Amino acid sequence: MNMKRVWLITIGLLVCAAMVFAGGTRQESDVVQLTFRQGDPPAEVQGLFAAIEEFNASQNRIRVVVETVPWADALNQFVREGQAGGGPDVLQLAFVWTKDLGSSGLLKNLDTIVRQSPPGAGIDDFLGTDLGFYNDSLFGIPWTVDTFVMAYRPDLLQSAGVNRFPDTWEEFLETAVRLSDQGRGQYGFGFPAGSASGGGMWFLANYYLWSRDKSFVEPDGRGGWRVGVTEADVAGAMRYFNQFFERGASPRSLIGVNSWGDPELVGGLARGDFAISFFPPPTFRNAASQSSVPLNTAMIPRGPSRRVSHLGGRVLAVNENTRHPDEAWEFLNYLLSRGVFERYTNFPAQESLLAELQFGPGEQGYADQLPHAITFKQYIESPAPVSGMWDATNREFASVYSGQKTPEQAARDLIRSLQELL
Amino acid sequence: MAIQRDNELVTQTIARARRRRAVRPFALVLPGLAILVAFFFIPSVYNIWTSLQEISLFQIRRGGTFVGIDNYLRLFRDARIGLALVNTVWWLTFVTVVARIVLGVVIALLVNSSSIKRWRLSGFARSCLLIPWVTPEVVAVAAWQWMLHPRFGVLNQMMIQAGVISEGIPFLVQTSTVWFAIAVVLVWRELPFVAISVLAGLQSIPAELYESAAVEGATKPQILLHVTLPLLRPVLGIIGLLITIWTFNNFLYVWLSTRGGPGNFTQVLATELYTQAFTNYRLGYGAAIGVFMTGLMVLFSLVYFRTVFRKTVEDEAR
Amino acid sequence: MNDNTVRPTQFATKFKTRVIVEDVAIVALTFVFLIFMVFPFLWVVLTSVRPDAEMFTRHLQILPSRVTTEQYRALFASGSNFPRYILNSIFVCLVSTVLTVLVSILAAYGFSRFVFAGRRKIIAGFAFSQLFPFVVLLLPLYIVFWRVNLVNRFVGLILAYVAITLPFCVYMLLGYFQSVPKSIDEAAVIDGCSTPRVIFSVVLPIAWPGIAATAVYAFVRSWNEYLFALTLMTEESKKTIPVGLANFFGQYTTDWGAVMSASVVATLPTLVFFLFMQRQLVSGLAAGAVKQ
Repeated sequence: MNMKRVWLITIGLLVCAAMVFAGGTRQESDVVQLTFRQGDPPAEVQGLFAAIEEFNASQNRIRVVVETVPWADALNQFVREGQAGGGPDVLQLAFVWTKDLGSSGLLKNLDTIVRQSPPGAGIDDFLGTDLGFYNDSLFGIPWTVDTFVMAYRPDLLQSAGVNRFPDTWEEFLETAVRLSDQGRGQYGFGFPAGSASGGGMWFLANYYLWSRDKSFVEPDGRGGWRVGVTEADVAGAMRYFNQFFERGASPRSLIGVNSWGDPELVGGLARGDFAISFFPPPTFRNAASQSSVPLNTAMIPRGPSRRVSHLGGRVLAVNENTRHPDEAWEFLNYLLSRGVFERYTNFPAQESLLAELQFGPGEQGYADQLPHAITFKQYIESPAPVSGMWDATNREFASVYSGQKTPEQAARDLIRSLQELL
Repeated sequence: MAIQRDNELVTQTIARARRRRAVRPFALVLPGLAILVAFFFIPSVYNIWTSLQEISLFQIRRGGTFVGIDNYLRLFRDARIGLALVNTVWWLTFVTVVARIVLGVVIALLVNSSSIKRWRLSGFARSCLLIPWVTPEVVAVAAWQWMLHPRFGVLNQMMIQAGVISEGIPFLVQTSTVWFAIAVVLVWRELPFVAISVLAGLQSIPAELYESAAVEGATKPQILLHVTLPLLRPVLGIIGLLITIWTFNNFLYVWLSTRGGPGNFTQVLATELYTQAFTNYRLGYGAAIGVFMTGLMVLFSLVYFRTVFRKTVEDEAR
Repeated sequence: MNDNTVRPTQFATKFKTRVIVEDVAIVALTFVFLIFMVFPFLWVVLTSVRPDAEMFTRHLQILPSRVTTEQYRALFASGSNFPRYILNSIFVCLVSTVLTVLVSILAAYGFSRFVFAGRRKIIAGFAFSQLFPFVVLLLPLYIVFWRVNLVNRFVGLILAYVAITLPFCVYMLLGYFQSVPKSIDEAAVIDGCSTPRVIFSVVLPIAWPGIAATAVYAFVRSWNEYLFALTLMTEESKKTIPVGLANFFGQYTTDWGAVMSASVVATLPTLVFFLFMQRQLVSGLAAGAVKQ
């Protein structure tokens, strides 16, 4: 009997506690509550959080609550939520997700609202809008842009007698070899060579192939799509990057590193483990803040046809399920404003704002490279999911680095995977 | 008269109790059963339905096209599935299950030995054993990745210091060592469950059995072989089945430590499922892999029950 | 009881050299295993108090030159959400553990005391539920949870954890209850006790160690769960520790020191809880595991 009473009391207390916990966040009815979702570690984007707080304080009609879902899970999470009928009101997406989400009806079609109240200085002011469209309708507004450049330690280059940053891919390889001193554990080039979808190898592989005017997939001219590279093209790229490992310019541990933000790379450049690495702007700033000597940036090496990198970045979109599309649009416009970019450490996607931007010390490489950056538009328009191509590419390159396959075998397998995805 | 009334009362009480008992079992089991059905069986049926469709991750609301068993036919032709199956069965499951059972029994015997008891170390040893089990998987993998790092990892540095090797070994990226590394992480994290269960089994063996064996002049190895191990069979039987199933379906260890790499070298069925459904957006195909995995485990469990389990139950009864 | 009977012989053999050699060998061997079990976590703790500059050194340095609490202070600084995550984790795991234990007590008692149509099939069903790979169940489950408005609510996550931990808990308790003689509760039934009363005032006090072991299992399993916590709880104020931990792995950077200190904080509460319960855990598992 006693026992029973104890249990009943325990349960009663727990239920009460549950109600208290659950009831804590009731909202008032006359204020519109919006949820905004972003994907970076909160500690990195305190400026953005502060700007949003300011937005909340500046008016009393809309209250924005920020939530964070890590990038690695963000797409899957929204796909689940959106199709179930929920999700945040305004969300930050990667450029390459917009088409898939827009075409499956998960994002609001922004055509009408853009015509009625144009964002910023008009939609033509934005870079990368070609990725926001699907069937000629706009589903996302480019928010930030970035690209990758080579980040390096000027002091290490100088002491090795390298006076000019290498210009072509071949020079780059030779320089990296020269900068390596395996006895003391210094390596020429640190880059993410891991196997996972989302890893950085994909970008390097594309830069190399694009600079030879090759592309993994391309239109076949008859309204369909085909693989745009030959076995020899891919094997050549694989052989090129594999030489960094074979000639001791990169440590083999990098075959397990997927993210360019990995402490091994960021801290590696700061400590001088690597003379050169490969970073987008926020990562470069992080490395620079850890380094005791100034870091510098330089453009991506040139190929026989051109010098090229990808124009990446983030898009802002409105959830199709939102109950407050007008307020969501108002808040989205606030995020595009100059005031936000003063505190948010990313490059704005609006050319007018970008032109005003003061590039920080050592960031000239980004300013030089951005005009040579192209979007993944061609890949996105193809029926193959970009994440699938990304995954297959990184895996096959890593299988060469780890000695499982010859470049020829791996190239053949990669082309077969691409054909299967198309 | 009074006695008769009493008797009547007793019969009535028993009859009432019987009636109640007929309804009661369902009422008792119902909450658990309801949760089970809602949480496991309904989604599984949905999943089987999905596996018969060509459906993209983005098409859940619109629905896909019914393609019958196409996804399954494809699965049997897919060379990557073959590789993942071998990896799952041999490396992920068999090697680590055997290692855990063997090490678990050894550790449990050690901790339960009279020496440890004499030195009053039992509580301390049990506490140490529990540490890996409370470590979240994410932390466990991160810690091992960190320790196994070729240049900054403490294990490589120790070996270099001791002169065993001259350069750090990249355990998690070279094909010759990567599976061992994953197995070590997994065994480390999951060993306590086995060791503690076996320890529990050991402690429930009556002391008289040992005493009578000792009186009959049995040596320690003989006691171990003929008394202890046979009596551990029931607990090992059930633990073996459970950890086999849990490990076969496990996605976290491989995903967190290598993402199935280098290349596809350490892909297992669960990571292959994830890649197909969430990276290549082929939800139907991913679901088919899931159903295939469940099927294999059903088969395994049936065989296991027929052989290992029947035997232990019969032994118990005898 | 056991101790008393063995002690005199122990005393007599204590000074025999052969026994001492054997003792030392066994204790040494045990310590080798224990070091293997403890070292990784110890290393995480050491890393979390290591100054940044000493984390990436190329030569062996076991102990940090000085101890820094910087990482921990950052974790609990004002504006940090981590304390909130800890509270949420404790709340969700406690409630779900209590509910799981309750539901599994009822079910296990039902299975162990009554013979009814479909009993074996239902028990098999509980075992069968362990055969599904979780990743695929997530999508349909999310849709169901959304329909019944359980997303971003603690109730939803608690229910999910009850479901995840239930099958094994039922199995553990079933073994335990079978080891409790039926005659005890049959006597209570004849005395006119209702079934709940039989369970709670007759069987439970005897089965206490088994229930404690079950509770520990349920708690730890929920404490470490990541996938459902991530999927069901996106609001900052409702996240749990494993999801908070994942927040440190960003696309642009990874804060390694923060990961390590947060890992220690994530592990300590369960560890302390366990250290108090280790004896009950073993004796609880003993009956459950063996009698099955």
